[in-house]
Parts: sequence; structure tokens; C-alpha cells
Amino acid sequence: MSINTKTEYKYSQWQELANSKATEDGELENIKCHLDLVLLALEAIANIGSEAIIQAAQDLHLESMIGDRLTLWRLRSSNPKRKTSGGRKKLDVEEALSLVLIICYLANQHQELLRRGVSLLEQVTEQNESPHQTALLGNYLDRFINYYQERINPAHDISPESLAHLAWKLLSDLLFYSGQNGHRLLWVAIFDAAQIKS
Amino acid sequence: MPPKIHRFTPPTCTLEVTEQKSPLPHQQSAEPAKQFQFELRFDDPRQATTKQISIQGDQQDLLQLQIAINHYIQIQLQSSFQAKNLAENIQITPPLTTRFGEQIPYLTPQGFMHHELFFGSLTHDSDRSSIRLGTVQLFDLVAALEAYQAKIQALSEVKPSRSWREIIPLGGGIAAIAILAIAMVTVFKPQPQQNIATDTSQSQSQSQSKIPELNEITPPPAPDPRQQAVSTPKLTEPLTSAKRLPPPPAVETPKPKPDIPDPADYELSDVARQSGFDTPAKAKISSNLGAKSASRSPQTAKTETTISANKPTSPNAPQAEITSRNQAQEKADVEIKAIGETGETKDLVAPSAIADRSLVKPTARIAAKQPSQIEAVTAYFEDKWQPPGDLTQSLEYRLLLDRNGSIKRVVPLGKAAQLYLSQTNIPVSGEPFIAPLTPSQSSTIRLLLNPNGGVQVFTELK
Repeated sequence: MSINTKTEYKYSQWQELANSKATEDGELENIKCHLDLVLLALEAIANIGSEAIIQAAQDLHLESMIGDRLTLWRLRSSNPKRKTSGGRKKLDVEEALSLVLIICYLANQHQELLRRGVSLLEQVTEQNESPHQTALLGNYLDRFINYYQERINPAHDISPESLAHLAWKLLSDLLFYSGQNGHRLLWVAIFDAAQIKS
Repeated sequence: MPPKIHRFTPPTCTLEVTEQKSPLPHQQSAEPAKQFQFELRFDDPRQATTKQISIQGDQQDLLQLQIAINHYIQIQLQSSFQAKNLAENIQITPPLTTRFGEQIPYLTPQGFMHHELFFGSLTHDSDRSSIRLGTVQLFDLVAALEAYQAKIQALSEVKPSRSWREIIPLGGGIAAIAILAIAMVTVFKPQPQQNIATDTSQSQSQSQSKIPELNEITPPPAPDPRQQAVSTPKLTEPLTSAKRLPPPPAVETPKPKPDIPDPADYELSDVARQSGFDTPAKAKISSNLGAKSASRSPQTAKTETTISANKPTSPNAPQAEITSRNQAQEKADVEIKAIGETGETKDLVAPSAIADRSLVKPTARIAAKQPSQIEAVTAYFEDKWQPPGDLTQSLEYRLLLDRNGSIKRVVPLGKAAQLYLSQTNIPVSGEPFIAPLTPSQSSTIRLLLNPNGGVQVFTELK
């Protein structure tokens, strides 16, 4: 099965998923969480804020989805693991798609940085050194942990080691999302993961 | 004919695909008789050149490799979201292996940041049965394979042999003349366009031989004599078009070495590709159709002008609708909108189609409202744009216009666009460009210059 066909297949599946009642409680909740985490890692490595995300939405003509800080905040608050979560309407498929596109667009813009980060991580892992002793990776990890602790509900807290592991894993994932088919990879990955998880 | 080589060179690997055309023309099948051989070299800077490993094989082998890598990547990406991996700091191992059989290549994770690619039945020059790849190397390998995939798709779309055969008998004489004219114009474009030119002229001669007997097809491709023959009538064309041709840029700009990684493979943004419709990297079928009709439209328009001059009274000639430039542009827009509408129906549509819809639709609407500005810019670059021979990606620029119609600023989108800026003939120093803008016209233009010589122009709301 070609990747295209697979993606179309996945999309049609997700369409069904999004329309089914089970989705509202299960898979889509996970998808919101995954997307928010990837975006969080991207913010941490590229040191960008909501302005950059809103600008990306404008560049992609997605203003109707994410036009200002408030909509962005409401959208990201749809992550059930967020401290600010609650009362927010459910993330729909179009919104999820928008977030996927924005993430991959921003990752592509910062591809060189991501490449450098992953190269460095490979190097220090190879040499059995601690990644946070390098400036780029150290700053990334600090920001990632800060954002995570600021935004994610302590009930879903994980150990510092797991959090660091998650940060490194998301960093290398972001490199793949920055590629020319990044949006398809992310789309299929979050869909598959959401299905397995629920 | 020497084999054509396509080379994809991300920083840490080189994928070389050699296209070998079968000497025997396929009489019954419209499918191109092509075979590919590939060689994949891992250019690991930490290894001595003599120790660097390469893999060879044919199309099927490359397909197997692609499947194995895609599957592995997908499992790796997906594992980041699995609760087990988040909560417990475990080594990420895929829940199911990619090993379908002993002979098929597969990958396994090696620690945190490395991956082992087992060659399976692929021919290789290593003394081991696998190679250890870093994550960056794996990313580059994925990029090379994606670029190859896109190139193959683009090439297959360039050959409209079946559709030409269906169209030409219906079109009759005028259509044949129109195609001849397109072929003539296309022949004068430099190398990247050559595929199209050859195919078109081939179709043309098919059509001529087809008039007496419809089932008989295909003369063998003989490019050189045909190009000569076709180029002669071009001299009799109006001098206005000849005047505008810029001097050939190839003399001034030496080609980079083929082994130098092509930066254009990386940085052109996804959005550019999604909204650009025609990059070889993306190669969506529907968007490419739109791009082709848009890029060919001026030529078609010229053709129509000459035909109507020769035959002033031909009220019943249905072929006279061979589209003016406006019509062709609208057609492209309609096709773009059609993509959007397909997306809205929420049928089996890839996310990229949704992306295309959401990215493109507003622009396409604006384009339909302001044909004159787009026309002017398109016409300008149709004349000026001479793609360098080594260009493989589309170049995208944002042009900020002054109210007097000159260009105030050029923003290259992506590194490839920056690198090739000097070769684009964009008038950057305030020279006259298009007519002064009316208040309703946008001052921001997005320009997409395709390596096949095509030009696409969109207005932007800023």
C-alpha cells in the first residue's frame, strides 16, 4: 500500500472516528494531548511563542481556525491533561488538521536547528555524556520541563527521567515532521497511537 | 540514448536512480517501458571513503527498502505517544517487528538514537549484513526516498501519452496545429523541459500518422531531427516574442558539482509545496494538472491568436475554444477549487488535500477576481524565466509591489529560492515591472518558478 493510499485510508478512518460517539471520549482526547505535546516540544527547541504559531496559521491561511491568542489558547486547552482544561469544546478534525499543518510548517522553518539538536544528541549519546551539558540541548530540556510543569496537570506528572526521555524523543520526531511529508507522518502517527491507546 | 540519472543528495547519503528506457517501443501498452536501477551510498563523514557502504538494486528492491523504512519510521513516531513509553523510561522497541521474511530489508532500533538497517536480499558491498544509522542519517534516507518517489510521480505525469491519443483524433486539424505550436515553443526551453517537449512532439507525430489509420501508433522517438525540423518555422514567428528572450544564462553560471548536496531538497517549506501544486517533490496529480494548464496557457493563447487571424470566419469551429489565457487561468483556478470542494465533501481525502484546500482556496478566489495583474506578472516571467539546468525544485518568492507597479522587495521563500535569486530575472532594483496598481489590487504577489519552465502567480492578502 502506498503512503498516499495509506494516508487517505487513515483520513477516512479518522473521519469515521471523529463522527462516532466513542471518539469523543477516547481517541480524540489522546490526539489532543499528543498534538499539544509536540507543539510544546517545538516551542521549547525553537524558543517560539504563541505569536509564531498565530503567524504560521496566517501564512497557511488558517486564520479561521486560529486567528488570535484566545482561540489558540482555547484550542490547546482542549488537551485534557492541561491545567486549564475543562469546559472547552472538543477538538474537531479540522482543528486537529490545522494543528498538524502548523506544527509541520514551523518544524520545517526550524529544520536546521532541529537537525543540529538531533545530531548533537546522537553525539552525546554515543559518547555516554549527559545531553543537558550542551547549551542547545540543555536549554531545550529546561524549557520543555518548565512548559510541561506549568501547563500540564500534576495529576499526569511523570518522573523527571521519563520527562527527559520524552523531550529527547519528541525532538528527534520533530526532525521527521520537518520533512516534506512531515504532516502525513504526524497525522498517521497520532491516529495510530490514539487507537492503540484507547 | 544514454541512460538518464536522477540523483538525490541529502547531506549523509546519495541515492542515484538510473532510468533505462527499453529500446523496443511498446505498441499496445501506453505505459512507458522503463526500468530503474538504483544505487544508495551512505556518505558517513566519520568513515573513510573506502569503507563507505552502498546498496544496489532495481525498482522492486527500492520499493522494498521504502516500505521497510516507512513502516519503521511510523512505528517509531507512534511510540512517542504511547503511555507505556511515557510513564516508564523504557527503551523504545516497536511492538511488532518489521521483519516479514529473511530476504526483505528491515530496521531495528539500536539504543536511543541509532537504528540498524538489515539489507536482506539487497545487493551491498559491506562485509556485514546491516548498517548502523544515526537518526539524522535515517532522516536523510527518508528525504532521499521521498524525493525519488516524487520525481517518479512527476515523470509519469509528464507523459500524457494515453490522454493525447484520446484527444487528438477528436480535436482534428486545429488541435494538431495547436499542439505543434506548443511543441515548438517548448523545444526552445532548456533541459528540464525536454521531457515534455519530446513527449509532446511524439504525440504530435502520432496524431499525424493517426489520421489515416486510427489504431496505428508511435513513431520511435528521434529527438534531434525533429527538433531541427520544428525549430525552423519558429523563425517565421512574430519578432516581438523573439526580442524578449533573455540571453542564455548557462554560460555565466557554472553548474555545481553533482555530488554537492542540493539544498533545495530540504528547506522549501511544506506550505510552498502544498500551495505550489507543481513541485516535483510533491507531485499531486490534481494540482499538477492545474499547474500544467496554467503554465502552458500563454502558449496556447498565442496559438489561438494565429489561428483566428488565419481564419477570421469560422463560426462553427469548436476547436477555437482552445482557451485564451484568461480561460486557461480560470480553468486552473476551477481545478484548484475543485480540490477544495472535494475536501469539503469529506470523502476519502488525504490530509494534504485538505491542506491544499485550506491553503489554496482563498488565493485562488482572489486570483479569479484579478486576472489582469496575475496575467501581467505571469506574462513577464513566462518570457524571462529560464530555469537553470541543475534546478530540481520550484522556487518561491514573495514580491512586494510598489503602487507604481515596480518591485519594492523580493522575499525568497526557502534557501533554494535565495540561491537562485540572481538567475530568476526578477527586476529587483525598481525597474518597470507591471502597470501601476489600482487600489483594489494586492501589493503582495507570490511567484512560483518551476524547474520545467512553468510560472505560477498568486496574489496574497497581507
